[in-house]
Amino acid sequence: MDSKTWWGRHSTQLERVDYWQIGPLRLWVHPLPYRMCLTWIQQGDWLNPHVRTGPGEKTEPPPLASKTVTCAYGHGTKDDIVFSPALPDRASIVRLNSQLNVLPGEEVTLFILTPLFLRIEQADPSKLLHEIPIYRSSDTWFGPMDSTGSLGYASPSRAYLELKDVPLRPHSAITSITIRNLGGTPLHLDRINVPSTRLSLFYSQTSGFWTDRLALERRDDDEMAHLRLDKQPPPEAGPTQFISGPRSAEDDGIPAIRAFSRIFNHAKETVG
Amino acid sequence: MKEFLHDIGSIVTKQHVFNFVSATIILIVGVYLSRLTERPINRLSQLDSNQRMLFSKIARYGVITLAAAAALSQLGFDLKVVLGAAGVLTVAIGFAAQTSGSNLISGIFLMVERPFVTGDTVQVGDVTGVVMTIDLLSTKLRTPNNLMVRIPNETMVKSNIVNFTYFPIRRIEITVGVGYGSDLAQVESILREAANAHPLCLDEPEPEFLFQGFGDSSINVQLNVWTLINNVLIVKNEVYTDIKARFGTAGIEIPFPTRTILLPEATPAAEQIQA
Repeated sequence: MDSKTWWGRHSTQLERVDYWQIGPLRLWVHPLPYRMCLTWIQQGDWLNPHVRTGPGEKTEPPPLASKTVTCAYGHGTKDDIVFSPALPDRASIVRLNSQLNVLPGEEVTLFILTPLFLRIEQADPSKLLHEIPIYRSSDTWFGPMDSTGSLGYASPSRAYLELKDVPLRPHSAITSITIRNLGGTPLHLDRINVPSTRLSLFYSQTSGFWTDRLALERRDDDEMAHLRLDKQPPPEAGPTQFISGPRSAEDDGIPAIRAFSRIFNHAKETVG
Repeated sequence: MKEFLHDIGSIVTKQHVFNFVSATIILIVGVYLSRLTERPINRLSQLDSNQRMLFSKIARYGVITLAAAAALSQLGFDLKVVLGAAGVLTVAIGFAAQTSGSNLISGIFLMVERPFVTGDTVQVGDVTGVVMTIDLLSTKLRTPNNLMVRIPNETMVKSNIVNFTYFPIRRIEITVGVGYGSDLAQVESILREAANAHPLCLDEPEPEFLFQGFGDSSINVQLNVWTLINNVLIVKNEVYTDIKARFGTAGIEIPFPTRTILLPEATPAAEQIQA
C-alpha cells in the first residue's frame, strides 16, 4: 500500500493486534470473538507525516492515556475492516496569523488544511464501528457567547496564500477559499469558519485530499461575508476522485467570516 | 308510597326533567370540550412543557367553568346570585390561602418569564441543584448529593437565581499560588500551555492570565479558561492536575503558608531558645 493510501479495506485476524499510525494518531485494532476492540491515542505534532499501516512488526502496548472502545458484533466474527477518511463533524475555525485586509474590489485565495477523521467500518455488511479524529483539535467557540454562537474545532492550520507552501499530509484535506471584497471599504479578516460538515471530500493522486471550493463574497460594507459552495474542488487539485458527500446539507446559519474579534473583546469587558 | 310519588310528580314537572337532562348534557359536553382544548396547546412547539401545562390547565378549567355556569343557568339558577356567592367565597378562600395564592401567581410569572427551564442547574440562596419540575406552587431541585429540595415559587421570584446552564459556555477560574522566587513569565507560559493542551478548553474566547496579588506566602495568579457547560468539572479537574505536574517538572514551587518569627536577642524567649 502506498504510504499515503492508508484508507481502504484491511484484513484482520482473530486475537491478533494490528497497529496503525496515521500521522498523530496511533491505533490498535484487536478483533475478538463477537467484538472488536479499538484503542487509540492522538499524540505529537499534527503535521506528523508518518503512516504505518496494518499488521507486521510487533508493537508496544498502548499507553495508559489511550482511549478504548469495544464494538460488539451480533453474529460471530468479521474478518475485514474498512478505513475511510471523513471531514470533521463540526466547523473548523482558522485563526489567521495576522489580520488580513482585502482591499475594495480585490480578491484573495487562501488554502487551509483540515485534519481528517478516520471512519472504521465493518466490511460485510458495511456498518460504522467508530469514528476517530486523526488529530484532536481544541474546541473553540464561534460567535457571541449566547445560544447563537456555535461550537467548532480550532484548526491547527494556518491560512496559506500559495499552494506550494501548503504542507501536504496524507491525513489532512485542503480547502481553497476565495474571498472577494465587493464592498467599498477594506475587509479585515482575523479568522475564518470552514463549514466542514457541509463540504464533500475528494482525493487527488498528486496532492491528496481536497474539499469543495469555497467562495466568500462581501457585497456590502457589513462585517459578514456570504458563503458559496462550488460543489467541486478547485482546478489546482487536478483530476480527483469523489470520496464522500457532506455530513449535513443544511445551512447551519453560521456566518462564514467574522471580521475583528469585537464580540469576544466586548464579552471580556463585561465578565472579566 | 303512592302518595309520596304523587307529591313528587306534582313538584317535578316535565320541564324540570328536561332542564336537568339538558344541564347534564351541557356539563358532559363541556368536560369533553375541555379535554379537546388541551390537544392543540400541547402541540405548540414554541412553548416548553411547563408553559404547555399551565396554558392547557387554564383552558381546560376555563371551559369547565363556562359549562358549569351554562348548566346552572339551564337549571334555573340566577347566575348573578351564584357569582356573588362565588365572589364572597373567593375572598374568604383568598384570605385563608394567601401563601398558596402568592405561590400560584409566582409560578405563573416563572413560567412566563422563564429564567430557567427544567434540566437547568441553578443556585437559589444556598441551594444548588438541577431543576426537576416547575409546578404551579413550587419548584423542585435535585441537589448534587441527590436530595430533592422543594422551593416555594414565591421564594424563587424573590430570590437571586444563578443559572449555571443558561449560556452554552462558561468561564472557569483556576487560582494558583506560586513561590516568591518563581519567574512569573515562566508561570504564565506554563499555565497557558496547560490550557492550550486540553482539547476541551476553548481556543476562543482565549485563556487569560491574571496577576491577583502578593499573598502572605505566595504570589497569587489566576488562569481563566472557557469551556462548554457540560465539561466544566472535567476541565477543572484535569487542568489543575496538569498544572501541578507541569509546575513539578519546571521546579516551580506551590508554597504552603509559612510564618517567620524574628525574636530580638535580648528577650527571655530568645535566650531560652539559644540555651
